[in-house]
Amino acid sequence: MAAPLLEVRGLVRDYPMPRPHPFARAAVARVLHGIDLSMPDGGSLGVVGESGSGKSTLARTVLALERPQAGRVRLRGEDLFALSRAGLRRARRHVQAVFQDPYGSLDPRHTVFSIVAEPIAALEPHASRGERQDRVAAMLQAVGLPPAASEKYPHEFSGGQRQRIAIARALITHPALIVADEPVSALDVSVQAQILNLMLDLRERLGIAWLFISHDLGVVRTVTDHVLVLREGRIVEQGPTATVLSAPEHPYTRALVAAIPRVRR
Amino acid sequence: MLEVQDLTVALPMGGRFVPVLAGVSFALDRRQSVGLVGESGSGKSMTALAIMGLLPPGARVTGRVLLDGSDLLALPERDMCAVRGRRIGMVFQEPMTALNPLQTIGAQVAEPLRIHFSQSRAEADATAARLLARVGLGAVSAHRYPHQLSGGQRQRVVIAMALACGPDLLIADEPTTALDVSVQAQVLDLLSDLAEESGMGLLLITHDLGVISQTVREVLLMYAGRVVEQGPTDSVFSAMAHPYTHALFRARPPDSGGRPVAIPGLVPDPSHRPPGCAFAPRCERAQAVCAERVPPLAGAGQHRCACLYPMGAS
Repeated sequence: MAAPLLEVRGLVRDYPMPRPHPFARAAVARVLHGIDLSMPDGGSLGVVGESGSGKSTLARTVLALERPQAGRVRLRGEDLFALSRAGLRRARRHVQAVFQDPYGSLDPRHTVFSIVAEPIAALEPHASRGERQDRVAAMLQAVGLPPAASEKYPHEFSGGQRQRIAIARALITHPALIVADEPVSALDVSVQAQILNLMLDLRERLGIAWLFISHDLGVVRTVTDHVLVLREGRIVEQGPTATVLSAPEHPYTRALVAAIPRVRR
Repeated sequence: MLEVQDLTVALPMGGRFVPVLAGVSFALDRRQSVGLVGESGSGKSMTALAIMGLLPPGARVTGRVLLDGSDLLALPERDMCAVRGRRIGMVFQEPMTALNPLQTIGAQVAEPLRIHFSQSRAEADATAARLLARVGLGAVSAHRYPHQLSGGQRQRVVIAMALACGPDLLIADEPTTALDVSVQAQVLDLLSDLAEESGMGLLLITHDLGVISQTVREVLLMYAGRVVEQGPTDSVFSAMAHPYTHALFRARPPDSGGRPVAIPGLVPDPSHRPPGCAFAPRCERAQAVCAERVPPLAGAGQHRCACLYPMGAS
C-alpha cells in the first residue's frame, strides 16, 4: 500500500515559559501531547478546538514552520524534519498554507501577480517568465478572479477577494495538501459561503486535500469528511464528521456541539 | 424606555455627505431585548454609535433617539457624557482593547462608580466585588490584571463595568465574536439574565443569525444602511419575508451538512449604493422596478418587510 499523503506520529511540541528568576530551571508548557493523524490523497480533515487547544501549533508543525520536540511528520512517506534544507524546499511545493487574516497575510507593496507567483519564484526557480504568467492567470481563474486582478494591489480588494488571492497563491505550486488555519473566520457570512464552496470545488476538480483548522463546527461540517477534536493538546475524539457532530461521544465534544448557535425556526 | 424614530445619518466623505443610515425606527422597553443583524457595512454599529452620540465629527444626524422621553440627539455633549456609562452601558467586541492593561480589574469596575456617583474608594471597591461576583467572577481576585484572564473572563469584566451604574440600556456590539463557542453561549445567557433581573433593555448587535435567534425578542435585519425586515424574532425566522433574510440564512453552513448557498456579489460601498433597493443587484427575485424605487418597510402587524416581491408571495 502506498504511503498516506500526510502522516503524523507522536507529535510533541513544548513552548518555553518565562523563568520566574534568572537561576530558575527553564519551565516548558506542553502544547501538543503526542498527536497522531493520517490523511489520504484528496482527503479533508477538520481539526476543531477552542483557543489554546493547540490546533494552530499543529498546523504550523505540519507546515514545518516549527520543529517538534518529538514525533514525525511524513509527507508521502518523507520525514519533513529529517530532510536537508534543499529537500524541505522540494517538499514544500506539495504543502501550502492559507491563514485567517486576508489583510495581514498579503504584502501590501506587491501586486497580485508577484504575490501569487512568489511560491514559484521561491520553490521552482527554473520556471520561465512565460510559464509563471500562464500559471498565475490559470490560478486567478480557478479561484474566480478576473485576469485584470493580477496588476492590482491587495488594498484594492475586499476581504473575500483577498482570501481568493491567498488561495491562488497556495494553489500555484500544484500542492497535494493545503493547510488552512481559520480561513473564513474573518469573513461575512455571504462571502464565507463563497469561499467554502470554492474550497469544495477545488477539492472535487483538482483532488486537493485540505487540513482545515477551525473553532467553528458548522464550517467544519460543510468542508470536511473527517474531524478530530483537540483539547489541551490531546485528541479527545475523532471520526467521520457527520457521525462525530450528530452523535458526539466525548463530553467535551458534546458541549461544543450543544453550543453551536442555531436558528430556531 | 428607548425609542428610535426615523434615525438617519450621513457622513462627510470626499467633499459630500454620504448616507450611511436611513430611516431606522424601533422601540425597546425595560426587560426586553432587540437585536440588530447584518453584514459589515449594514449600518448596525452605526446605529449604536448614533444612539450613544459617538458618531465621527461632522456627521449629519436626523430623527430622534428618545430615552424615557428626552431626545438624546438634542442633548449637549456635556449632558451626553452623564448619560453614557451612567444610563447606557456598553460592551464591545474586543475585551482586551476595552480594558486598561495597567489597572487591576477591581479598580476598572470601581471607576465608573467613583466618577458618576462620587463613591469613596472603599465603597466603590465593595460594589465592584459584588458586581464581579454577579458576572460569575466571584472566584477571581479583583487584584488581577486583564492579561491574567481568559477572553471570556475579560468580557465578563467589561460587562461588570457596563453594569456598574445600573444602566437602563445595555448596548452589546458583537460581544461574543472574539470568544470560543462554548464561552459565547455562557456570555449570551449572562447578558439575557442580567437584562431580565435588573430591568435593563438589551440592544444586541451581531452578524450571527443563530446568536440573534437565541437571545432577543425582536429583530431588525439591516442591509446597506436600511432595515429590510423587522419583527418579533419567532415570526421573522418562521416566515422570512425579505429575500436578503432568506439568502443570509441559506449562506450559513447548513445544520444538516451540505453546501451553503452563497450570495453572489458584495455589500455595496456606502458611496456607491445603487438606486432603488440596495439588495436588488444580488437578489434572485429582483425585477426591473426594484432598481428604481426604494421599497418602504411595510406589512400588517409587527412583522414588516421592505420588499416589492417578498418571499411567500407569488
